[in-house]
Amino acid sequence: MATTLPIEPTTPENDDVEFDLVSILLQDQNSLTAVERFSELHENGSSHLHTEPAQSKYYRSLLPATPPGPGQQYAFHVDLDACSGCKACVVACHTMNGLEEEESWRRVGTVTLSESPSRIQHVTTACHHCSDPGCLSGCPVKAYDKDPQTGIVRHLDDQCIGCKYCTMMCPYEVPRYSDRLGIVRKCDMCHQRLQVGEAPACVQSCPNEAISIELIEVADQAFDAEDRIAPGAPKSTITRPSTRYSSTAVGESSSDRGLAFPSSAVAQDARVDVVAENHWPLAVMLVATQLAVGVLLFERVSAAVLWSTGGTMPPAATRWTALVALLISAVGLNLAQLHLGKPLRAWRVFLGLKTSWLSREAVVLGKFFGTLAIATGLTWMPVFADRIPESVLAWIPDWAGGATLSAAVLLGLVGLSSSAMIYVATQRLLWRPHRTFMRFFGTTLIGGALLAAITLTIGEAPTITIGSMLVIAMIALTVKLDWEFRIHLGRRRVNDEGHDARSRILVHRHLAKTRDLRLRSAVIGSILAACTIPASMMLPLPWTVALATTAAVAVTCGEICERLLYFSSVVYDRMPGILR
Amino acid sequence: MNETATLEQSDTRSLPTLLQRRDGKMTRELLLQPGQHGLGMTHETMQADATTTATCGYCATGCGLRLHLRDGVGVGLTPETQYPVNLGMACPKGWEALRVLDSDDRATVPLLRRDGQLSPVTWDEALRQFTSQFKAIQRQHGNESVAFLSTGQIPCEEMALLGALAKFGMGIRHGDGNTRQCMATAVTAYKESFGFDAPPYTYDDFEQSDCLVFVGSNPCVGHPIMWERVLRNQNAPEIIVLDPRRTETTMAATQHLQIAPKSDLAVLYAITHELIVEGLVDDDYIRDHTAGFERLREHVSRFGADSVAESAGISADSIRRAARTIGKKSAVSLWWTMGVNQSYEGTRTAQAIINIALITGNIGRPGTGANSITGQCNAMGSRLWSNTTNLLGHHRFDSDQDRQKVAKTLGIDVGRIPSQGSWSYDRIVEGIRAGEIRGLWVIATNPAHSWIDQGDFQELIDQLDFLVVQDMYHSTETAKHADLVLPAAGWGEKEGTFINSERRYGLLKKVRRAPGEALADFHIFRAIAHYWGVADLFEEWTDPEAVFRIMQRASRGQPCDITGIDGYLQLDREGGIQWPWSESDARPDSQPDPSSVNANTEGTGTPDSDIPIRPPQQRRLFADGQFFHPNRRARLIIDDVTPMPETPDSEYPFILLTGRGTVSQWHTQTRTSKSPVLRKLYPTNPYIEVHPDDAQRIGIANGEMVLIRSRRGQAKATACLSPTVAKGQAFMPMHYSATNQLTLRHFDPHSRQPSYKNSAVTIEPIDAETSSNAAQRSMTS
Repeated sequence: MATTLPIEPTTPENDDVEFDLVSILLQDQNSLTAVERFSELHENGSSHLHTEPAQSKYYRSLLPATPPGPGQQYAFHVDLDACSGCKACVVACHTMNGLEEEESWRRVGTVTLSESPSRIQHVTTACHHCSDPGCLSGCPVKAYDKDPQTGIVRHLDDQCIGCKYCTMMCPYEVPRYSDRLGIVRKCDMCHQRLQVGEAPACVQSCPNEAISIELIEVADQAFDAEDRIAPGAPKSTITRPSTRYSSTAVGESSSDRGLAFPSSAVAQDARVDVVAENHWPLAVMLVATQLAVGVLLFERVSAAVLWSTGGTMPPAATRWTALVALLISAVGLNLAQLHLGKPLRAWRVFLGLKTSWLSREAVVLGKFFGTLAIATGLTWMPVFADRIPESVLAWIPDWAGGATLSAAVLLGLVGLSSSAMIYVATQRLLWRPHRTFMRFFGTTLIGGALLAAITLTIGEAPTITIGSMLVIAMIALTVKLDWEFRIHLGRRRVNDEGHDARSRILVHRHLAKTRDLRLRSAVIGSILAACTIPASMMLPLPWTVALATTAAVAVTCGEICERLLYFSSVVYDRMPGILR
Repeated sequence: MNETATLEQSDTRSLPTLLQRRDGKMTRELLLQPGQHGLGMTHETMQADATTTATCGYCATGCGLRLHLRDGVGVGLTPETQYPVNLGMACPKGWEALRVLDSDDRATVPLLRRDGQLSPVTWDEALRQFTSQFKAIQRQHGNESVAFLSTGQIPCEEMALLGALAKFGMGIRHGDGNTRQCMATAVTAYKESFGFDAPPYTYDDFEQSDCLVFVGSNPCVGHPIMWERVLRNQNAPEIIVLDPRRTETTMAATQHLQIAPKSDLAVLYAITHELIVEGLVDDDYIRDHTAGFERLREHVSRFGADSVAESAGISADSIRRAARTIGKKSAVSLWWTMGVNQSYEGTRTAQAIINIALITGNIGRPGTGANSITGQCNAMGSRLWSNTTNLLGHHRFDSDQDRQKVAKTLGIDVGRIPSQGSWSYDRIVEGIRAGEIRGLWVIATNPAHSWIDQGDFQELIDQLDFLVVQDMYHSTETAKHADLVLPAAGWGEKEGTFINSERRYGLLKKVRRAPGEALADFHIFRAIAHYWGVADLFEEWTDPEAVFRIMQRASRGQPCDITGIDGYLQLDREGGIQWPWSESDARPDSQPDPSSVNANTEGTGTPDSDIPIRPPQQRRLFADGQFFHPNRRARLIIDDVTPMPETPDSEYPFILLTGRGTVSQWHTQTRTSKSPVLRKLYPTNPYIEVHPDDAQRIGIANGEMVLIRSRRGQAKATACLSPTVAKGQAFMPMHYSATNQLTLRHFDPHSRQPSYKNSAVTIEPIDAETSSNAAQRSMTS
């Protein structure tokens, strides 16, 4: 724009002086004056001579008069009628606790109520310092601690391995992962402040005194099966949250039942979901361990069937099966480390065995891998017999390899069940038992049978056994795909407003590429697998193996996509939020 | 609550350190230490070796923020416990006031447009360009062909210097502020009714009322710290709200009149009529202190509750009930904000509110008043000191006497003072269209986003010969159109004073170094004065406090007299001082105003001492019923009710309301968008609130993208289904630049304030085939 007008020579009378002026101004701009001019006043002001914090006069009434007694704990109380939605609590938490740029341990969501007269209500939420904290029970390394006297659920930052499992186990999305630190952090109810009689940052900063700390009797907490602390929030029975919301503005029927929100309340972000993290290292690890256990399972079962019908499984078939299973699980278990923010701390993973399925999975799959390694060694020993001392060979019975392999299968199956329970334990509806077990053991069957077809072919097992493997794989794949299609891969019109519909929106709107790849891989894989049967009769062995391997790669790719969708298209009940 | 024992106990129970690390580098990152200076437990990043208090630079509440200083540098802030405005609280914007100073978008060097690109130049070059380009335009098209648009965001001292430099030094005739967009209506209403732009209240009134009436005002979102004061009211007050939306404020109301948009004037007249016929007026007050009551009575008799109720979409009973409440309560305060000000008949609506306060005698006493809640941190500073519509210190350009007085005060030739005020903002914009304005200097405001019918404005500024934008950020919508960008220091990087809504002068502090070569607007104005060759006029204007002393002189004898203030140190010591505070008020033998709340008892002068009296912290105007018109009476001003110029029709069936979205957003978001934590508190994308029934009818679901069209332009936004907007209406926050693509360019004829809140629009789903949102619709329909 703008024409450039002829520049008039407006040289000020004295160039040097003018140049100096700018320098003087810049110099003046950079001298800070507040301390020298004013701060002495504030330092010596009478108000700051007290040892007690100046703000204490505002928050004193917002704290309980005594510390919690036996059976009691601290809890947040939110007076919804007083909350005007300013969100000062969110920023004060961020500022006063020295958190990261975008980090705050409080959030504020918005709900509206359609009943006449309509209403708008903001809902401030932080950690609920639950009686039965999911974060704590899920943590594999005991990086959570519920203080026996205050009830505050603290996260031990230097203990955390950054596995993010607590972000799934906490139904309220409280622990948040920090890329910079490689760990999660969460609200600690400003325990350092409470310790010296100061109020938490959010309590101190609310202009309307809407947030306070109260004492609750833990034994008196009573939750009905459908109780939720806010509209759309997770069921309170999952972790028994301590936060209490109260309002006098709700209708009588609601307040009678101790509910702060009428049933018509809807969160501003209701049915507006975002794609969740796809946890790709976990997806690969899960599929890999399932393939590994699956191929072993089919080899062992086939061996048993052959034995019962008077035949034998060729040792080469067993040998190759063990090796393939070992390699695949090695890849999977090593990849899983990528998922950890602090892998060097992960050796403590056994600490949570008592409560954490993640801990159990890690320990059991570790044992599985060790057993499998031994079994692989044993099955391959005859091949290298001439290099091994006679005394050693004599000491190991013939059945040792097969028996160890069977033990590995059993450990593997327990490990896979633990994997599934990790997600079932979150009580997310879309990860409920049959949804999760169907996927995890479906993959075990499909991938296991397909891989077994390959290893048995290499090991020159009977054709009928190999053919059975291929048929099982194709039937299982067809059943599983149809099931997934009905859940969320299909583009069906549905009337339900439930989690499946929401998940399906994510799949079709934001995850279409993964969905398409999942379908294509499965279709291509099953066609290739189907071709393997006639091919094995006409083509030489290497060609058959190559064809079957290609089928297995395609199917595996499809199963990994299925697992990525399992993670990234998950929707769940959550505290009210805002539109993004 | 000593829990030391507890923690020891829990330690003994825990696992060995090797297995469970309860302490370490990451734990220590969040360690709190006892803070000095009454701060309580403080994180290391906020530890201070000294603190000082500054007035917040966002809204006109004027909160005191306690700056934590280390080696003189502001490292953090917390709300000031003792400040009489905010009582230890702040909204998210205030909490993040320092954070927004650190941004890659800060303008750090002057930028000059060359070959279509803005490129860095030295200050010397920038100032030469500024001077030569504007002088050339003035030489060719006359002095009045260069205009300026300023702001309510810079301190009084900078406004005074800008106004004096532009008008007395550079010969500029026309300049206006963005306060035209927020406060012009209140100013005009007060001037006509009271004889001076004099908001009468003090924040203590929020706590003293037994009835509060909010008209077009949502303090929960707009002024949350004022709302804090409402909730501290111990009188269980009636709260009456007139608002087309079910806002947060209406949730706390005892009576919500959910009126149709722009029916406020008629409803207020109906309430006035009810008050009169029910005999609920203060006859003595009307007789002694007002003028025009008979005309008012006759006028409002045409606004019966029944007929008004129908057009306003509420029940007649609700009008009568509100009137009875107002009439019977003993301390009624009436408050208005942008719902009134940003209206094509806003001045008369504000005056209808003022009339109600006057005829019920609800003025000059604690808990009363017809009270305009101001928008920007220094809107009132702009009104008094910007030298645009009014001559410095709220004098008149068209008064010989005032011009003489100001000339004498400033020590300049009276001939330098024009005898007419500036064109209003909209007239300046029309001047660009007509080619009368060729050069424009925009200071600390962002009209390419905020001006009504923004698309039209953006086209117009591209017609200018030279556009200078002086701002903290080089990335504002307006700066992108500039020929020259001058980098300005911001709040926290300079000194000066703001005047808040209750007439309180508060101090800014300089606790941060401005980035690069950014200079305080004060310095930029001084530099321009030198390059323009008029430095000799401003010899006394050496620093902000020197200008404050000039302002004090210029205020002498005015209703806004501040001659009694003993410099910045006293402002700092007292937690701000409300105008008026004249030398005679401060004299030891003066009688304190009986209605004031004197929190400052220590050191108050006695008739025997010669120590000046300390100003009481809460003072209100008109305790004596003496107004500023020559006859000392307040005028009861009335007018006809006029229809909206653009009503919904079949093509554009919705009325689009606009306003503040969330507490964490400020105006065009040049600052608030720079704080990562604030950005989390509001939707990133523009959104439009639509009633669920309307949404169902049009076929849109919550969270979907919609297209909104008006006769001016179109915008995309996320649909936010909310029953808090009435059917047939929609609400869009003004913070997103899309919003003013839609608004209808029309103005209040008296105040020239744009009427932002009534434009007809249509809302439609974005093409189902191309939108990625289509899936959801097909899923859910």
